This record gives sequence, structure tokens and C-alpha cells, in this order.
Amino acid sequence: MRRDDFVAMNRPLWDELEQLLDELEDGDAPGAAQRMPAVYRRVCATLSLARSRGYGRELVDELNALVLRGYHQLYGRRVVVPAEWVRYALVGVIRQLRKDRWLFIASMALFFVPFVATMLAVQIWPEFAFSVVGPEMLADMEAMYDSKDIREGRESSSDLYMFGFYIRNNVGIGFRTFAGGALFGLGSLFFLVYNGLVLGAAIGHVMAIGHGVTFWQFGIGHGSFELTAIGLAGYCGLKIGLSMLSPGRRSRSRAMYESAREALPVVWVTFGMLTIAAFIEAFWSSSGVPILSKFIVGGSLWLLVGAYLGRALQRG
Amino acid sequence: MAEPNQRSALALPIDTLRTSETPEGVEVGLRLAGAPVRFAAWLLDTLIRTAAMVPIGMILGTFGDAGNGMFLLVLFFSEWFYPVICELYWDGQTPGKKMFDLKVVRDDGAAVDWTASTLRNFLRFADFLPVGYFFGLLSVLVTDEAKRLGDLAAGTVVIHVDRKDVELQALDLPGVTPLMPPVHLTQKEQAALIEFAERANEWTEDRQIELADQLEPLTGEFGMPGVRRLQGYALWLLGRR
Repeated sequence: MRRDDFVAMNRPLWDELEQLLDELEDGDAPGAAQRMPAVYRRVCATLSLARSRGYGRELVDELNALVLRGYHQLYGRRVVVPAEWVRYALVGVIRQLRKDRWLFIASMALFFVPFVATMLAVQIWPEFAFSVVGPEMLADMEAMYDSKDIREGRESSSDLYMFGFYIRNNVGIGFRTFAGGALFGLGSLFFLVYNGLVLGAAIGHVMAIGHGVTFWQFGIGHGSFELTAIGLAGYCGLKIGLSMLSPGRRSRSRAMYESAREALPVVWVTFGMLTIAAFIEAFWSSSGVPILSKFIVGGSLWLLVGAYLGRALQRG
Repeated sequence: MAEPNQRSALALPIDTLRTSETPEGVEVGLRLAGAPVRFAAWLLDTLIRTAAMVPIGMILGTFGDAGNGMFLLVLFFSEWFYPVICELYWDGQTPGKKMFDLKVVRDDGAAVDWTASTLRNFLRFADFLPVGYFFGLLSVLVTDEAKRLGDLAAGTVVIHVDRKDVELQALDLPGVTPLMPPVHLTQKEQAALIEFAERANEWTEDRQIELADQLEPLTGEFGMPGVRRLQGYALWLLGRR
């Protein structure tokens, strides 16, 4: 069959698909959705024919674009039910961490070891804090924990401000720690150790100058979610980085693709934990609740997070 | 569905055209987009985002501390989720990509999903390092399919898409009469002749003649008469009599 006859014969079919796709792309169109797959398959067949019969680039390009549009409609979106997300966060993520138990432990250690070590080092050699973080930041910390805000609570409008600030800042740190993994893991490694050192030195300094209780009544509530989340973000990044360094029997890009897909749910859990932390930090940690209840609630939250993540350490 | 990162036998490594087979057993071609046009699209997106932040900031700013806090939230979402939301709801396109006729698709040509879009956009930070998308550019240049790091992890490619209103125009060559080719032509040769006739108008006459002269043994003519003959064969092959 000559091309002109072919075009004349199939033009109505192509126009029909185009019209159906226009409807579907504009929004819900149940009628169009029912008819589209059959029409689409017939158009696929005409593309194959046009190509194999050598009808020329222009026609093939036009049909190619049409088929691609249909392909996107038919195989487009997968709807995920929120309940499934929650289940996955509680079960799937733990299973994932269990599979990579040692990487998970190593990521946590890369953050918590420098954190605790500098915090203790500053208690013994107070000047050490200045060699890790600049004097301005330490002065800021001093001023913050000296003010009455932190002990007696502040106005609720500034609570909202701080919530926005903590989300942007802390979740940003978490996401960057993850993203750094795409640089052969070096970025995640850096952010884990760096954040551990800086936080350890800053908190150690506040404790060394005698505001230890003031700080911890504030920090204990959200610390459980925030600090472990940074370690988790590091795990996700390092997982991608390791897959690039040692892809096994896969191409490097394939290994990266697979590990990133496995890590992503953990990234979402990290996001969730940092959001919870920002919420606690803005509305609870700085409130005027008695110190004792803050320590009780904060301690319970540590137990809760510990129980959740601790399951990853058990043998499956 | 074809495995991501797996190259089809039809793909020519030197070309920027990649093919992918759909479940219907038909190959669709994906035309990969390079760094400059993607950078332009990104720049436009950044401008749009910044321009949107100014009025939002001014409105929220009037609500004091609470408003400023909300503004920081909006800022956070625009930094990390603007491309994700756009790509999901506009089938792989942000406003910038739309303007430059670009689209994000999965390696097999399918539409981006949540996982792919969040991965490629969360990892954007690594592409941006150390400054101005340096690592991203490096990755686009060295990988076969012009992927930045985020694309590698997400299993996505950025392709050129045609505008919707492109439709085949019936080939119209005034003054050319359909001619039966003197010898039997293979399908490839037929396709080459048709494409020559379709595209000849985009070239100078010298170029048309230069190409047509190669086929003097077939047409028996040099110069413009040769070009006309080839166009005549093409019309005949298209079914004109």
C-alpha cells in the first residue's frame, strides 16, 4: 500500500486517538478512558507498519509522538493509598534497614560518635569548642540559652515562625545529607561527620558554661527524632554511594538506580521524623511546661524512636 | 516493559535518539535533550519560582512572625517540591520544560511516577555541587543518555517532545510529475527518496543538486532536472499517479 492511501485510510483512527487523548489530558473522562486502550493499540500497529514499510520520517515522527502520548496515559500514574504508606513506613523500612544492618549501624555511628565525642571533649577542654565552630555561633548559643524565652516559653506567634524555620533548615540538612550520597557517598559522609562535630561542640559548649539543664530540657524532646533522622538520611545517601563504588554484577548506573529505589522510603521516613521533630521543637520544647514533664515526655520519645529503629537490629 | 538502562539493539550510539519498546510491541523513539536547553529551562523555572515568592512573601509578611514562619514553609516546599509537583501533575513537565518542549520520562519512555520524580529532584543538590550544576554537567557529558546524577538514580531521561499540532502535510510539489523508478528499490532506498523529497525545500538549490548528483546513474540527469526526477520517484512511491 502506498503512503497516501495508508494515511487516508488511517487518518480517522489517528484523529480519534488524538481527540481521546485531548479529553484524557484535560481531566477525568470515563468514556474516553474506556475507548482509549483499543484505539491506542491499533495506532501502535499503524506505527509499526509505517516504520517497517518505510513511509518516511515525517509520518513516523507524527505517529511516534501520538503513541508516546497514549503510552503516558495508559501506563501513567500509580495511585498509592496513604494507609499503604504508613504500613510501609512501619514495616517495609525496618525490613530494608535490617537487610543493610551494618550500613545502618555505620551511618548512625558516623554521626553519633563525633557528636558524643566532641560533646565530652569540650567538657574536659572547653577551648576545643572554639576550634570546631566559630566564636560567633557559640556566642549566639550562649545568648539563646541565657534568655528567659527558653526557660519560660515564648509567644505562640514566634512558635509558628520557628516551626517554619526548623522545617526549612533541618529537613534541608536531612535532604542534603541524602543527596550527597550521589557523589560516591562522599557528601553523605561529610555531612554526617560535620553535623556530628558541630552539634557536639555547640551543645558541649552550652553545657560547659553551666546551661546543661536549660539546654537538655529543651533539646531532649525533639532530639530523639531529629538526631536519629540525620543518621538515617546518611544511611540512604551512603547506600547510593556504596552502590556506585561497588556495583557488583550490575552496571554502575543500574546499581545506583536500584539502591536509590530501595532507599527512597527511608528518605520519606526521615522527612516524617524531621517534621515531627520541628513540630515538637517549635510548640513543645520551648513551651513553659514544667521541666520534669519535659524530661519524662522527652525520655519516652527516645524510647519510642529507639524501639522503632531498634527492631532493625534484630535478626529477621 | 523494557528494563531501564538497557540499550535497545536499534539504538545508534552516535545519535541522540533512543528507542524503547512498549508492551504493545511497538518501538517508540526518544530524542534526548542536552545540557544547554535543560539549563535554559531550569533558569526559567528558577525565575518563575523567585517571581512567585516575592508577592507571597509580601502578603505573608503582613502577618508578623506567624506569617514569616509560613513563608519559610512555602520557601521550603518551593525549594524541594516545586519540580516534583509540576512533573507529576503535568506529565513530566515543569513550566520551564514546557516552554522549551522538554519532558522527563522514565528510561523506558513511560511517564514519571512519584518515586522517579522525587529521587531525581532530591538528588538535584548533588548535581548542583560544587557550584552551578558542575557535577550535573559532568554527568550529562559523560553518560550515554545525557543523564545528570539525579537521572541516573531515578532511571529517568529528559527528552524533546513535539508540539501537539505537528501533523503530516501531504507532500505538494508543483510541477513535478510522478515517475516510476527505473529499478526496484529496497525499503530503505524508498524511505531515503521520500525523505529527500520532503526535506528538499528546507535546503538551498545547490545542496539539493549536490545530493541529487550522487544519483545520476539512477536518474541519468545532473542539476535541477535530476532533483525533479528524484522528487517524481518520491511522489510515485507515495502512491501518486
